[in-house]
Amino acid sequence: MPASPCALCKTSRALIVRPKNHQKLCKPCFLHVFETEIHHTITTNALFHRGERIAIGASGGKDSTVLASVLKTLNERYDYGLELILLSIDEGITGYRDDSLETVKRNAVQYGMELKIVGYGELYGWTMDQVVSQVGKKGNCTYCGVFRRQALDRGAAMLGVRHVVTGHNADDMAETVLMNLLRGDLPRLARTTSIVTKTPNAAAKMDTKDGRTDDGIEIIPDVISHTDIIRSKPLKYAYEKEIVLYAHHKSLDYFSTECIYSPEAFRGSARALIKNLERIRPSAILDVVRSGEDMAKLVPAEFGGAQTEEEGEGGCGAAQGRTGGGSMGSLEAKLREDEGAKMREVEALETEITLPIRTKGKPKSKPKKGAPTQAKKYQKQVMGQCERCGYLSSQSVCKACTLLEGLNKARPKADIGIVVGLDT
Amino acid sequence: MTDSSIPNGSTKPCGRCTENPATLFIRASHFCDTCFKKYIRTKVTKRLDPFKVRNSASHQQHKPPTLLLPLTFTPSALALLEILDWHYRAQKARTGGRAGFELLVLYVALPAEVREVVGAEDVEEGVVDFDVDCDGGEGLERRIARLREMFPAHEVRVVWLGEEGVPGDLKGVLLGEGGGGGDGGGDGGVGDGKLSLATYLRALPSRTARADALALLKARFITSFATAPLPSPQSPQSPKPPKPPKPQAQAQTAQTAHAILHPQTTTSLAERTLCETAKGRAYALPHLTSEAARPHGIPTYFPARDLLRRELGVYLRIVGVQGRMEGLGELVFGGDDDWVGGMGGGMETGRREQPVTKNTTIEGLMRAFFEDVERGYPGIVANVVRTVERFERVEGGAGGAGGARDGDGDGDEGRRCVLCRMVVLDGRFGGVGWGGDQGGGEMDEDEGDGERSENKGRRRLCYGCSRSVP
Repeated sequence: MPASPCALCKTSRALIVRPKNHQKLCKPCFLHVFETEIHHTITTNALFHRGERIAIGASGGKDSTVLASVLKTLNERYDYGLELILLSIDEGITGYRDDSLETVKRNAVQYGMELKIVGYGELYGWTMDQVVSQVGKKGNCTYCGVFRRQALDRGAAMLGVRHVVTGHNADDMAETVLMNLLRGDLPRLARTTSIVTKTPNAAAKMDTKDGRTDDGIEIIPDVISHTDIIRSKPLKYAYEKEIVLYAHHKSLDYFSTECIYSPEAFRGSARALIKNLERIRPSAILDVVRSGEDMAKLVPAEFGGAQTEEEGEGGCGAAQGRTGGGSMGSLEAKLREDEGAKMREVEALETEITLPIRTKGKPKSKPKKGAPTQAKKYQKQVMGQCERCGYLSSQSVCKACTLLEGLNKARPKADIGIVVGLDT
Repeated sequence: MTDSSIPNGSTKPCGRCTENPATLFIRASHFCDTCFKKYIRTKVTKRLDPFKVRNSASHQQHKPPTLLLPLTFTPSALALLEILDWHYRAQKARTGGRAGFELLVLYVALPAEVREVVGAEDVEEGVVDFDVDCDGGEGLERRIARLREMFPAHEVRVVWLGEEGVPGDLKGVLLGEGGGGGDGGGDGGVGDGKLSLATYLRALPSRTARADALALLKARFITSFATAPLPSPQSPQSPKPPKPPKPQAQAQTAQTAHAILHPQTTTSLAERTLCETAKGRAYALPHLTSEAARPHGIPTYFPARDLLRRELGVYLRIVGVQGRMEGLGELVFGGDDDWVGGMGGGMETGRREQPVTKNTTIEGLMRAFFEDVERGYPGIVANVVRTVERFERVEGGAGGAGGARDGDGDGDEGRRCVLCRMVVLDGRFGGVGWGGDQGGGEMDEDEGDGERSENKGRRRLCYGCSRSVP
């Protein structure tokens, strides 16, 4: 078969079929297009400003390694004027992070970037290995996810950085959209697809209180600052397969492993769907992301249209804060409970219906039972701050603090991942 | 286990009547056949409140409203037809001959050429059952005749999709730049319209695209059929297609139907939700799956939306064994008796586990996915539908300027996708000018209609449609 020429430069031989659109490209053109698309994402969304210090959430995995490499390249090529720093979290899982942290350390040298490693041990007094020995393997991903979310922010605050970039890619985004749809999680549907998320400025609010919460609890200064960190996802539209190709063709030094305490259901189902969709129609990943962005606009304001991030919930925190989404079984159990209550209600209504018709003639003003969209009352998710650590939370005490309290009392509390927005 | 049969030897009584032995365990309750039947019927008829006898009598017109049921030979649709018929007869019996509605059953058949292009497997698998199925072949006449026997109270109409060609406003879009110069069929001639539809579908890039476009065309066709002025009565015997419904705005009362009843279940609505999400058409979800929306100016109801597909399958099995409805289940197209299965086995699970390839359709994938989810986690299926119900309906999708038909000529015309007819969110047509469009790195930040070669600025297609009709 004759070698086809690169679709862009028309001169070199095409070696790569772009997973995104099946375009045939030569290696230099592929690398260039990949970088340029990320540049496009950065510039159209005005993600950075000159002189900004940016912490790259670095796990040593392919996504964050590619992110670091591309940002370094673009920073030089387009003269962004950014100061890039690597920020790693050490969950304290023996055999998992040891190797990947070594990779990050090498990356720091290769890219000439400063590196900060923050350990769960020093942040929370518990490494994940210790957590697992306490709570067992089941449910420990909740701890990891919740802790990780804050860890990145705390680490950034320690570095005096206000902006963290993470390696979430288009596949992650698409998975999250489907996952949140399956979970019926409207608040998350509203916010997860936005490229920039930000914790509200709790610090400003507290300044007026002399560093005290409403209850007069004193806030430690460095804790305040970690509530005002911007997060962004420059790889939001980049396909995972292209990230792997980029890392491969650039011979990047990355570490590939799955967490040994692996994640559970929802994310897995959504992931399998996305992979299959990609097989059917390569553009589908992007199409789901687009759908996610559109859906975010359709979520009513009371479900939290605001582009804010809360601490992760109910799942694995591997790969920079992806949550596992909890298990299908537990959501099903909860839904069934709700359904049970409703069925009992319906049964009561049914009895009413079977009464002779005349007796029902009068009370016309009763709400229509068959009415299609009877909006129920849902608890509005109100974002406040944790009264212990000041972190953004919809509860008075944030999940991390609650989990820690449980751990410290030697009493695990894994089941606090309440799904907001479901019938109660 | 959520839906399963109970072995014969079981002594559990039905949780409802507490007398008969339970034969089914569904939604965490034990049912006997009779109580289950009642349960299903109640779930459906409760959604038909607007069509009570009392309500229809209050209309000035003497004739009760006509409801259009686009039928497919799927267990869900056949079961719904049976329930509607039961409801209709019950109303008449109760009131001495008055009913709250008239039912018009419409079967949209696919000409052989079209079936061939879409891929017989899709059709056979019933994969695209939410909109496109099924029989256009020799079994059709027999099935229709049987339906008319079983449901003599209702008119059953058969029309052929594509018989009249591709809708005029779509020719340019569908047949490409040349607008039908080539391939014989696209020259605007009404006569050989069949060919033009097949030709057009053949030109689309993938099976998913073909299935998608066909589903959209079918939906449009049904809408314009429903909203067309009342045609002169046709012989119910003849499967000849009626004159093309020419959309002319006006005279709401004189249109063929007052509302459309879609046979979609919770499961198929959840499937559709994920399908449209995967196709980049989520912006339209509130209009596609909600009863409150009237995207085409005609009320739409989903009477079976509180039921799972398996439940309607079980229902059909129960009602189809004796009496007038005996053999109703045999009309199910595309599968032996697999959908009936053993009670514990999968209802409607005729298909084997198949590897996903580029020739799979997105509908097929989602269907297989929800088959599993429905079995293990039925609450999650319903939860997906409830979630979408909470989306806000934005921008005049609700029928535009009050009751405009099929969106034609209404105030939103300029904001609608020319193919799916949905009002496009923020007027963002096509795939250009959003964050994910990186234009191969060459793109500038031009908003809206970029003059990209593939978009050509000639079509107002929504993002999702521009994927299927590139």
